[in-house]
Amino acid sequence: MKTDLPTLNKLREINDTYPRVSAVEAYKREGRKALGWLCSYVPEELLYAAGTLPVRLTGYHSEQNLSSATAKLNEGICTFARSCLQTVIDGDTDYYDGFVGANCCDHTRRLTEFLDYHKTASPFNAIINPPLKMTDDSALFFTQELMQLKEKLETFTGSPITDEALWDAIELHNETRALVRRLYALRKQDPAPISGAEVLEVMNASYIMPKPEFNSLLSELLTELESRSPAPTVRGGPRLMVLGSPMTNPAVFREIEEMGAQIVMEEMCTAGRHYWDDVRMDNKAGDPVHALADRYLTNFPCARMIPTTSRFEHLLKCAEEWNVHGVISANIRFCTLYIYDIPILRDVMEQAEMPLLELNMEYNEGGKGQFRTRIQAFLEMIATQGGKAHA
Amino acid sequence: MLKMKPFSWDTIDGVIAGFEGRYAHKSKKGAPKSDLIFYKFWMTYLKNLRHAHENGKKIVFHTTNVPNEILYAFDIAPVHIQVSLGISSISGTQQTALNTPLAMGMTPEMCSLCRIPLGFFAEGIFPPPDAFIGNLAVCDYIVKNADLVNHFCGCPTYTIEKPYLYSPNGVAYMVKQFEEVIEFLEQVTGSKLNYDRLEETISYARQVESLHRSINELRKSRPTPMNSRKGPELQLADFYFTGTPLAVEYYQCIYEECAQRVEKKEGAIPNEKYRLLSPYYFPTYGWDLVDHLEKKWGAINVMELFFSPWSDLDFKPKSPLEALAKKYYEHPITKFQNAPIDVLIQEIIREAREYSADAVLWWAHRSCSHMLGAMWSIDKAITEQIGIPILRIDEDYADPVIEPIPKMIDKIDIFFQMLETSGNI
Repeated sequence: MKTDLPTLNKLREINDTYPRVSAVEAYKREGRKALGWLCSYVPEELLYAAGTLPVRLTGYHSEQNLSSATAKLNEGICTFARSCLQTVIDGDTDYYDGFVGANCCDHTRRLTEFLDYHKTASPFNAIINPPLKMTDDSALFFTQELMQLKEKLETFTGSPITDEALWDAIELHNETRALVRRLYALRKQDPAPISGAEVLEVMNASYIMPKPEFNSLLSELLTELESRSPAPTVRGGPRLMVLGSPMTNPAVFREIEEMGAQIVMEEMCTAGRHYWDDVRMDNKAGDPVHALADRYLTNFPCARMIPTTSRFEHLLKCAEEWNVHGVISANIRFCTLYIYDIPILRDVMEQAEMPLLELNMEYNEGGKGQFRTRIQAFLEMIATQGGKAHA
Repeated sequence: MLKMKPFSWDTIDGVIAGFEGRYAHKSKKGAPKSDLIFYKFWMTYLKNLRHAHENGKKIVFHTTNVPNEILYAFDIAPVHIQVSLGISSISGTQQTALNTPLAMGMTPEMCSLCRIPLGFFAEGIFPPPDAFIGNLAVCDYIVKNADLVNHFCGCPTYTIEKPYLYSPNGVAYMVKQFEEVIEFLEQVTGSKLNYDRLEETISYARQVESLHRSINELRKSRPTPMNSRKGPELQLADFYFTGTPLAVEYYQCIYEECAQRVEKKEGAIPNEKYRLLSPYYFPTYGWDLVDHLEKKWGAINVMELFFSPWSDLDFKPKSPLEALAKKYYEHPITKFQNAPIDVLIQEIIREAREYSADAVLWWAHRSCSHMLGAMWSIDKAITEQIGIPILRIDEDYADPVIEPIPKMIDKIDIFFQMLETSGNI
C-alpha cells in the first residue's frame, strides 16, 4: 500500500523485507558485521563504533505462531521474548554475527541467556547489566559494565574502539535523536500531519538500517511532512497517548486511528522513547563511555527504573505538551514491570483528570473484537464526558 | 484512588494465639525440639511486630535479601513481607489478599507471592510501616514493592540493587548501598548504628552459614536424615532470624537431629525409596503433597535449589559491609534462583550427582518467569547428562485455586506408578 509520502514508501519497502532485512544484507555484502541487540538500555553507539551494524531484535511485527519458542521458553514468558526467539529459531536472524542483550527484565534476560547458552544466535553473545536506580553510584557501575562490553567488542572485531570513534558514533546517534524529536514535535499539531501508525513504521525502520541512511531518509520525510497537513488517515479525533510494553505492529495503531482517534504520542521503548534524550557532548575531552552510561540511565525511563515517579513525571509532561485527551496503557501479559505500575498509574492519571484505558494483550496482537469494542467505548467516553473519567 | 482499609491487629493476634496453642499441644506430645523452636520462631517474630511500638521500636518491612544482620543491629522490628504468606494461610485471608491487588489494576497472572503482601497492606492486615527496604535481588516482582508501599502507605523507603552477576564492581556498588541503608535506618530510628552490634549479628549469621553447609553434607547420606518440610522451614529461619542467636539455635538443632540419624543410619522417613531434587518450592498450601510423596511413595527431597550449598566465601573481607555484600551475592536464593541458565544447569547437575537424586521434581509456579524460562534448557541438560526422570507439576505457589491439590496428587501418582512399572530406578 503506497502513501502520498515518497520517503515513507521507501522506509516501508525496507520494513517489508523484515526480518531478513535488505539494508542489513547489503551492508553485510561489504564484508562488515551485524550485531543484534535487545532492549533500549543497550547503547547502539558502542556497537556502531566497533565497526558493526547494530540491528534491533524485535520479533515478528505481527502475531505469528510461536509454538517452537513457547516450547523452549515456556508460555509464562511474555510473547515479546517468545516472538524474538521465534525469529531466531525460524532462521530469520541468521545474518547476525553476534548478539548483545541486557538484564532489563526477567523475560528478556532469560531470552538472552537462552541465545547465549544454546549458541542459537551466533558465537558472539554479550549481556550487560543496566542498573535500575538512577544515582551517581549506579552510573559508575554502569560505566564499568559498558567498559567490559567495549573490551569484549574489541576482542570480537580485533580492533580497538577509540574515543574519537565513539564520540563520532554518539554524534551520529544524537543526530538521529534530534530528527526523531522533530518528527514527534510535528505531532503536536492538531490534526497531526502524520499518523501514529506511520510513525511506528518510521521507528521500525530506524532499528534495522544503518543510521546514516536512516537519518538521510528521515530528513527527507520531515521536509515532505512540512507540506502535508493533516495525514490522510487522521480525521482529527481524540488525541491519544499509548503507553506500556513493546509494540511494533502498525496495524494495531491503524485500527485505533480508523475508529476516529489520532495517536499523537507513544511511550513504548520500540517508539520514540528510545531516542528521547541526547548523550551529552559538552566534554569531549572526557570519557565517552561514562557519557553513554549517564544518558542511558537518565533517558525517558522504562517501567523497570526506580523511583517510578520519574516515569510518571515524563508521561504527564508529554500528555500536556502533546495535548493528549486520553491514555491507553497496553501491556503484554506477564509484563511484570509495566503491570506493577498500574496501581500508581491509575492514581496519577485520575489526579490529572486524564482518561485511562488498560489493555492486557499479547505482543503485536491486532484489534480483535473485544479490543475494538473497548477502544470504541473509550473514545465515546472521551467525546461525551470531556475526558474526566476512567475506562 | 484506592482506599486502604483501616488497620487492625485482629488477624495477627489470632495467628499468634494459634501458634501458642500449637506450641503447647506439640510440647505436651513431646514433639522434636526443632519443631518447637520453629513455633517459637513464629511467636517471637509476630510478637516483636505486635508490641514494637509499645516497646519504642520502629516497624521496618523488607523484602528478601535485605541483610538481617543490619536490621537486627538496630533496635527495630523487622518484618519480611512474605511473612504474609504464612499468616494468610493460617488466618484464611489468602483469597482476599490475592484478590485485592486485582482491584488495584494488577492482573491474575501476576505472582501470588507478591500480590499477598500488597493485599495485606491494602486490607489493613499489616500495620502501616514506619519504613520499607527492598532488594532487587530475586525477580521483577520485587522491583516495584518499595514504590507501591510508599505510594499507598506514605512511609520512607530505600531500595537496594544487587547486580545480576558477581563482580568486584558489583560488590563495591552493594557496599555503597549498604552504607546508605545504614544512614536511612539511622534517620528512621533516630539512633546511630552500633558497629559492635553489627559484628555480633554477622557472627551469628556466619554460624548459620556454617551449620547450613554441614546440614547439606549430612543430607547426602542414604537414607537422608532431613525430611522435605525442613528445607523451607530452614529457609524461613534464615529469612526471618539470621543474625540472631535463635537462628543459630534452630540450625544447630536441625544439624544435631540429622547427625544423630546419620550415625544411627536412620532416615527421616522409614522407607526412603526415591531421592528427589526440587529446583523450586512446593506450594505454600501443599504440605499434604509433601506428606503424600513421603508416605505413599517413599519419595523425599534431598536437596532444593533455594537451599543449595553456599559457595566458599572469603570470610576475611576488609569490612563488615563487604562481607555482607559478598554474602548476599552468594546467597542461594539469589545466586541460584535467578542465575544464568548455564550456572543453574551446572548446579542442578552437580547436586543431582552429589546427592544421588533419582528424579527431579519441578514445582512450576506459573508466574515465575526466571524459572519457567530456564526449565526447558535444564530438563534437556538433565536428560542428556544424567538421564534421571523429571516430573513437572504446574501450579501456583500461593493460590490454591489455580491447581487443586487432588489433581497434583494424581500427577504424582501417575509419575511414580510409571517409575515403578518401568523399573528405571
